[in-house]
Amino acid sequence: MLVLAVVFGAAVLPQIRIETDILALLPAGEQDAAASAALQRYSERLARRAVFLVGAPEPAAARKAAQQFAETLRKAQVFAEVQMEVGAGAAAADAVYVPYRYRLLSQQARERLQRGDTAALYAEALRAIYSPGALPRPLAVVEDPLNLLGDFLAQSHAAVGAARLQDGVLMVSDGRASYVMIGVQLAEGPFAAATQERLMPVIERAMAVARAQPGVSVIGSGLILHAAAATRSATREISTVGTLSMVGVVLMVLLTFRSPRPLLLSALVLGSGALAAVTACHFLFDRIHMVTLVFGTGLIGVGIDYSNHYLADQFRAPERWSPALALQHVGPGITVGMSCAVLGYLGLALAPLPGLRQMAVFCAAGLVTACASVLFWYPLLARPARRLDAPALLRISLWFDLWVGRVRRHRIAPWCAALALAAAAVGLWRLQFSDDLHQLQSSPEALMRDERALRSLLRNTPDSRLFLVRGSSPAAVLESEEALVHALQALVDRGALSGYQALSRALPSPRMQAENDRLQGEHIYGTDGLAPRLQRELGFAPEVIARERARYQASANTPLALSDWLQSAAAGPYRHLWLGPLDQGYASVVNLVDVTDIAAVRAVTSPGARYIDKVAEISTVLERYRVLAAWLISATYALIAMLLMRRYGTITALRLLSVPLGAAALTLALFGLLGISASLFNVLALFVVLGLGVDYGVFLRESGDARAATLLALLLSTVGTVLAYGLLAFSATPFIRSLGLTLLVGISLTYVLALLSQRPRCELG
Amino acid sequence: MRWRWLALIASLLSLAAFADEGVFAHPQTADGVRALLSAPARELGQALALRGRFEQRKYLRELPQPLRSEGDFLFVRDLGIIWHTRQPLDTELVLTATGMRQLDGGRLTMTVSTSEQPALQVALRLFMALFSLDVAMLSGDFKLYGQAQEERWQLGLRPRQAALSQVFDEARISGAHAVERIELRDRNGDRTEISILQLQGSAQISAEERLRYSR
Repeated sequence: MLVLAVVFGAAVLPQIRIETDILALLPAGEQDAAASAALQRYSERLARRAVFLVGAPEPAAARKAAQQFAETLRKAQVFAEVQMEVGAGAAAADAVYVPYRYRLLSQQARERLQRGDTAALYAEALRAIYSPGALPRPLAVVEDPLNLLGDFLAQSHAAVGAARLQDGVLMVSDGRASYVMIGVQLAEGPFAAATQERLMPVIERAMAVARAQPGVSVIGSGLILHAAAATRSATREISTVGTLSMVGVVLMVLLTFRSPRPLLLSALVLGSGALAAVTACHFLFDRIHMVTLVFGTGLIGVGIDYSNHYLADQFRAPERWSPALALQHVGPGITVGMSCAVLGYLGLALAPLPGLRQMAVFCAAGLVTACASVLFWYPLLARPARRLDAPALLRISLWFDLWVGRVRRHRIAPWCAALALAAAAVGLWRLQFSDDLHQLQSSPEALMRDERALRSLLRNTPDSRLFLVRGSSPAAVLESEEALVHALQALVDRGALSGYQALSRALPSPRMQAENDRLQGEHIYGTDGLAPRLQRELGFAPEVIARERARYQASANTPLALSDWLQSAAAGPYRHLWLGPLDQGYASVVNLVDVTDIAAVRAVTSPGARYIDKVAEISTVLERYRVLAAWLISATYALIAMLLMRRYGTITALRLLSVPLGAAALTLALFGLLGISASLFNVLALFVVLGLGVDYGVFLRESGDARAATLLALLLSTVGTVLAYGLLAFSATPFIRSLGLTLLVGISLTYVLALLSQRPRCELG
Repeated sequence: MRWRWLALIASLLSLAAFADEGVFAHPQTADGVRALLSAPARELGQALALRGRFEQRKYLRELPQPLRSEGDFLFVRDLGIIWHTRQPLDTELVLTATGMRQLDGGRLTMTVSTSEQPALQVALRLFMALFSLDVAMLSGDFKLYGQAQEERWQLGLRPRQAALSQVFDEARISGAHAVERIELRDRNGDRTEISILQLQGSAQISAEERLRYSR
């Protein structure tokens, strides 16, 4: 105990890391390690980005407020980068391409040259020279008469959506207000609680200062905001659920035993359980998930059980009771009960879901320690209560037992049972399953509103769907991308999606560059190429024309390389798409914008490219594990059945198992009748129902002549558990809510079924 | 009276000193520019539609003589610009908020939407502001310069940011009762001069004209 406290204080507490990324609860869901590593890198990159739109009715006011906002963020020196001014980069970006311009062609120009459709190119170029030209012309007519570079740049410029450069910043307007865009890069991932504590106050201060000005609004988007909101709601829940169940437990113990000593003992038991649970998780897992802590709060109600059983034993024989005697009497019951509960939890650990493993380890370590401290300390420290006159709770539990017994013997009992069975059958038949990602997390409405507002303002924000492109070299990746983009462009033309972001649009593969060079040599800069012909028609002097042709011939014959390009200003809007060297080969991401025809996009096949839909994948994973968990729970039932059969024989074992089984079936049936769809998490909660159900049955079975004492302990346990887990049914996190609701209903039913199934012998005979 | 003389002498001196700079020696605020513009020009800027002819001379670097072209245009507030070059080639550009269409000899040859080509939006906004003399919009994108003498005024525009200088590096607009001449200098050394002739403003447009935008 002391050792545990010392280890906790010295090694665990200073280094404890709280994880809040909800996806960390799930397995990677990816058999291919390299692909998984690449995607991991990409999502980490995205997780570090945040975007703020600072708006006001007048652009100048928006700009001023945005400037102040950016300054506040910068001054705190906690962000890697706070970017507001972007204008200067554009010209520098275009300049990168000028030396390589003979190797660059827009897709349309290239296709025309490949077809030999030079007449159209020529006519268009001539028209463009005479008309006032709406498209930028980076080079003078004498240098690039067909504006091939301008054409390429126009195509390569990232589809920035509705945001446009104005006065050096990116602005977007919705008619009522103009917004200035501020991009923020985090120095580390947003999911560590410590990072959130450092960054969020700065962000909130900046937002508060901006919003305090009349007419100014701020729209924020970024994982940091969602992660921080999740942490806050989890912290709030842990403290409310923790406090309320603590209060409940304290009241219960005081009402029953009317002495502060049991209270202190309970605190000792719960304290060591909690320390052990956190310590075990710290050493077994790198970090402890927030959700584990929320779920673990429910342990208060379960851990207190052992203490209650032990102390309630004195109601069996108030005059002769001593703590040492109680050990002999309730020790085996507590141990069997605990083993079954731990088995139930460890069943959870069998599922290859990192989150569940952690919860299982947390609960198992907590329960084992709580039980061990009861068995070790109570014989030494517990004292018989001074006043023992059957407290109110004891009377309630006895009355309830009597009533249950009476219902059981009543002549309408069989009809009730039949009705319950029929309702259960209908409910189970109507039960629906849902494995949606939104089971896992739902952000506060205000944040979701901001996300929607940002999307509709900026447009062109990428989907969660994407293509991962891999190859053995950077050139191979670019070539694969080009094939993919070709297919995607056809879909864009058909309206299956509104666009995509691919770095090969701004950097053609070396092979494509060579092809462009060849095409320009053949059709543009040859003796009778398009450029000299156009220049002659416009009236340029022959020596000028000759000079421009010579310039082409003397141009660099090395392609614009990926490594140089990545370093340059031109890569700006695309850099995050390049995932760089992996353990095997290289990879990049092609983002999709507003996919409307998912089936068509998913059907695109291109060598080296793979369609990834993280959201759908998570749903598939959740479904797979729901099915797996159902098998696991069956296996656990079988295991516990064997255990019980060895000790009690077949008939009694089945009777004992009917308690959790019945409770589980009725709970699911109730959900079916109420139209609540079940997910993996409801199945998981049934593991706990199984553990506790067997627990209750065994306690009652083992109680013998001490039924009154056991009944009291059972009532205390049920109230404690229902209080603890029932409160989780009000959680903001949907899956915690599912767990809570299932446990609330399941445990209540377990209590009633346990009373129904385990009647005293005399009554049966 | 004396003050006026002093101002005239000062401006003459500054004109001499910054002969190369011309109008660009006179930075102005948006309000300053509004004050420069003659009342009729300001009024014309409020018109729903503007119609007129244009003559364009393009001075290309290293080309001894300018490329001449001419045609007519229609500008309708909230709809966009139709720039119809008739000589020496027949090319019609229809620039609207959603994108650009090009008709060659009445035949549609190109459509570009603003979502795939954001630069178009910049160009559209720019030309709309130039024609309607929307000073507030211009001052958002450009540093303003200007001077006036009697009814005549001259404005200078320089992009506030590099991205806009892809469209042009420097613009001079001059006129009296209306815009008469626009000169655009490209960063790459080419230069375009546009003379606006027979400019008329009106408060309504015909159904036929409206149709030209939606075709």
